[in-house]
Amino acid sequence: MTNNDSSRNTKDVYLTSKGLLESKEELEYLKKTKRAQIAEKIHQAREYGDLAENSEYDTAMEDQAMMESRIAQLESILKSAKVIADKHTQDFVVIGSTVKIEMDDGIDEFTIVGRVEADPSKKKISNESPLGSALVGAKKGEEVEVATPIVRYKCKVLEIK
Amino acid sequence: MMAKVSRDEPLLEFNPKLPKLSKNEQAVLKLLVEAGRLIVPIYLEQEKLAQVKIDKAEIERSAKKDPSFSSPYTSVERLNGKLVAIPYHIKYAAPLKPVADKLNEAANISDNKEFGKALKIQAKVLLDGNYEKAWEAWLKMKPNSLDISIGPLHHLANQFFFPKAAYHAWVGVMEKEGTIRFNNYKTVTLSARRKTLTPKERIDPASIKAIVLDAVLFAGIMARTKFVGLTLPIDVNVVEKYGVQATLFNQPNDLRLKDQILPTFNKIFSKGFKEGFSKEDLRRGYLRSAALHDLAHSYLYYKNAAKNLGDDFYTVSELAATVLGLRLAGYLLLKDRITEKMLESMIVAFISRSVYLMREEDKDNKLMSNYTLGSRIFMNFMFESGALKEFKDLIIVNFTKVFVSINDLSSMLESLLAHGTKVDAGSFVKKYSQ
Repeated sequence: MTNNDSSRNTKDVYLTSKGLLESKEELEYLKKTKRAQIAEKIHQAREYGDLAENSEYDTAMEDQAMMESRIAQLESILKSAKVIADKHTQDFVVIGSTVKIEMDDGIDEFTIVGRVEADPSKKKISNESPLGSALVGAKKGEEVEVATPIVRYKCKVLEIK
Repeated sequence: MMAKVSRDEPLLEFNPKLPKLSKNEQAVLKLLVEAGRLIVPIYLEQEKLAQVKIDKAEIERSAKKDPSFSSPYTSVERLNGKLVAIPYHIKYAAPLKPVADKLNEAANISDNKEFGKALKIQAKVLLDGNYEKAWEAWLKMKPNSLDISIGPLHHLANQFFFPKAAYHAWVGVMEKEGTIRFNNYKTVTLSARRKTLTPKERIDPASIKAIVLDAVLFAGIMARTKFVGLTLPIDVNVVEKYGVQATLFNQPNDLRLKDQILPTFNKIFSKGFKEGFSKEDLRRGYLRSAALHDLAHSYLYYKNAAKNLGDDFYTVSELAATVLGLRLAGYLLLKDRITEKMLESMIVAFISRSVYLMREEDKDNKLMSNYTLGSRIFMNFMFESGALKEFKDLIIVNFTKVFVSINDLSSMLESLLAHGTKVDAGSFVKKYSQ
């Protein structure tokens, strides 16, 4: 699950090598361990009887639906994933760059990643976000405009790592 | 869902659908609710005392000789013609004793030792007036499924320099998903290092706890104000030492949506505009704006702002947090954490609430007068910049201009907090509140 409230159409899926490994591990865990755990929960809940009034059964069924959806999502991601090189240029911002920026009286630092790995609370910003898409291709010292129909800021690239 | 609402009694008991609680938690919650109910007669007594007018200048003269007259935790009364300041814990010792007993009873049965310890400290503090100890215990405690705040509320102290009616209680159960989302916003919005206008003046809270509660009970001043969010404590010295807790309440948000935001929204916007926002958009929008308001407070603690700005401090400080909160929501949008629609919903819900407060100004809502004044300033600022326009009694919103104006207003308000004077604040408030 990403931390993004918005949804986007599927385009190319960019993953770091770490992100690729994590996705593979998660898929394996879901298929080999979690599936069996939830099946067992459903089995136990059935034994409580009266499925119409059985909240444990409803919860377990919901968990199963969510897990199967996640498995399908991960399989789709891994099928079309493009892996970002671990070593990348520091001349300009690419997916995988960690950038330090100045914007609206604040200094911020984050890594640009593909949307699958994006998690702003962990300082990972999607390359498809307004901020990420404005920064990709920018050079150190360059000032770019980050704009949506409502919000518009100048953003200066202070450092690229 | 409301179980019990009384217009006269300062008590709101909600009946939220709660997550599964253990038997022990249910028993503790029952005792906390009973403790909260006991605040009602104390608050009513304070309201009665508040009817007796005492000249503010006379209190200020007395405060020069004895600072306890200006303490937020004393009752100022006239006895035999002489003004006296009696600490709350002494004046209300008798009705506070059963409250403390209930808290101790809850502490004794609680399986959560840390929570039990904090309850015991809270019970003791109600009777000895050492409120800082209670803040320390509350703020150091790990997030718990149950939460209670009880005692005199320092909030709005300037507004109620006299009369004072400050006792409150809230009891709630943590809503996990909302709390995770709130903490996620906290991490994203507070991760940037914001420039400070006067670094020596600004203080950073020692820690920031963010929690969303399903409210079970509001008593005293909380029942009168029905706050949707609250960041406590507000005493900068305590904030610097122990931090703050930003708390959001789901059910009061639903109540505000139903009674204030939706009816106003339906009156002030055109049919076509209204079709763009569902009731759920506005519910989430208002709660989100309250969340960011509370997070924005942590950027706005200036050591001497309350002293420097005098009576206008709360109006300036609360409005500054609201507009900075909306500004921070812009970061969430740029980082793809929220959508344009979500930001628009926040703005529309806040405008609706502002218009509600302005129209209800002459009615019985004096407790919200700082917020009403703040709403008036916000709306006038938006109209003056052309971000809002009026056409045949309807409001037309230009979201891009609103956001630009929010940035301008936010900078002006923060500048007042950082190095403004009473005269600066007074002329700013006068200029935009007419």
